[in-house]
Amino acid sequence: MMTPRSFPLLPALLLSLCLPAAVCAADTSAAWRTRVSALDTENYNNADILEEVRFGKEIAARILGRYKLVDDQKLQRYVNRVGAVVAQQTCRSELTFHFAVIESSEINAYSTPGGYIFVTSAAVKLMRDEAELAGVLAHELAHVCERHIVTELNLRGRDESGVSSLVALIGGASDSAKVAFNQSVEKAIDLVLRDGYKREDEMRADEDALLYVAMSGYDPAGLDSYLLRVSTTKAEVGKTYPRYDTRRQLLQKVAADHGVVSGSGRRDAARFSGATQVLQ
Amino acid sequence: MKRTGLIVLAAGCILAAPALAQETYYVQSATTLLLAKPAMNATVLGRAERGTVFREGARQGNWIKVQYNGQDAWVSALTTTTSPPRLLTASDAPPTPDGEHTRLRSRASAQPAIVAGVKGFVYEDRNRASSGERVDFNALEKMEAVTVTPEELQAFIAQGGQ
Repeated sequence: MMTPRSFPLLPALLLSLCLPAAVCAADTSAAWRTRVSALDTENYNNADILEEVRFGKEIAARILGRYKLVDDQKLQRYVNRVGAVVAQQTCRSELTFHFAVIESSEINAYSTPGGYIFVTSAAVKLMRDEAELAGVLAHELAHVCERHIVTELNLRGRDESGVSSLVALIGGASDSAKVAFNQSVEKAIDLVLRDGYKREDEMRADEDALLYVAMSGYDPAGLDSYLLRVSTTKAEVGKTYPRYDTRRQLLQKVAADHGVVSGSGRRDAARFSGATQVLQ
Repeated sequence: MKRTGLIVLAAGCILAAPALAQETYYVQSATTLLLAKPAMNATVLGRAERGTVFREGARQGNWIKVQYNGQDAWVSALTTTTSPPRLLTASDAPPTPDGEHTRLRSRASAQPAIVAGVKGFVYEDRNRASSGERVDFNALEKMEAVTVTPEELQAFIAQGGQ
């Protein structure tokens, strides 16, 4: 039975015990996904990143085994410059991003872990200016920065022994490690070229892309105008892709939420036209 | 008794302090804007370069509140992480698998503040077919050979805006 003397102490005791838990819970719930996706670097050390790049090279080499590089140095240099402008805004400063235009009648773009980004000749032909190209490249950069493939294939972080699962997978010399590595590469190829990312990852990439483009000084309306044109040209979307109207609505919402103003940045249509002449 | 209650409450606040501790953020992008409000169209208060350290004052979606020149400012979470910018070197590479020769080349950066990239794994078996899948490491090397120096990038940006 509580005595009158102990009663005032009890609420104080309970409050002092609950306060830390309440603060932790609030921190956990507030913008958790944003926090984890962009900031979760603690699980990756330098060896992990180098292996990510190596894994990405394997996927990129397979993409290039299927699709030829467009044989025009002026075009390839140009796309790398545009890509570099946008990549400067990302948090993966340790990566050297590489961009390439590949010959394909499919309107598409691809990215691999480690920073290899491809855009098809058909996609570039459909674009009207540099801001649209920047928007597409920004979307692929976002997939790399958010580590969507690494996460999807569960290659992130460390296992209980403290060894990075990525390093263990790729660095292993045993036959079973090589088999596991090849299986992961094949899964990644399927994800990139056939199945697509999860819907929420595609939407996240669009959200990040809009902000990267705006921060790079390009007109953020570029990605929207390109999606509108693609939607009138390419009826099908990938299995997991949101519909084009859904993507455009999301971009408009993100723009409104973040004070991103359309028409406020560069389009550079003339420079784009000159650099992509070989495809016209 | 009142004093005891206050002491216990104070102890609880001390216990809560780690949970309230500010995160430290490092700018990862080449530069990032410091804005007066968490919006891209807010007044620009300044710019911070890669490696700049901020303490988080508050968090609002994709924006982090920091202190800049004695005033509140907002930076994009997309341009920051909680770890310092990384410098990758050849010594970071894990041991290579048996039977596969790799050579690691480091790309020297003209700007010490920019993280040096690690480039160029050279595979002996460049055009091997694996499970019927053709791979082309020669094309990959051509792709990697297209580089943009910091000076070229600045010139490209300066020539834009038409």
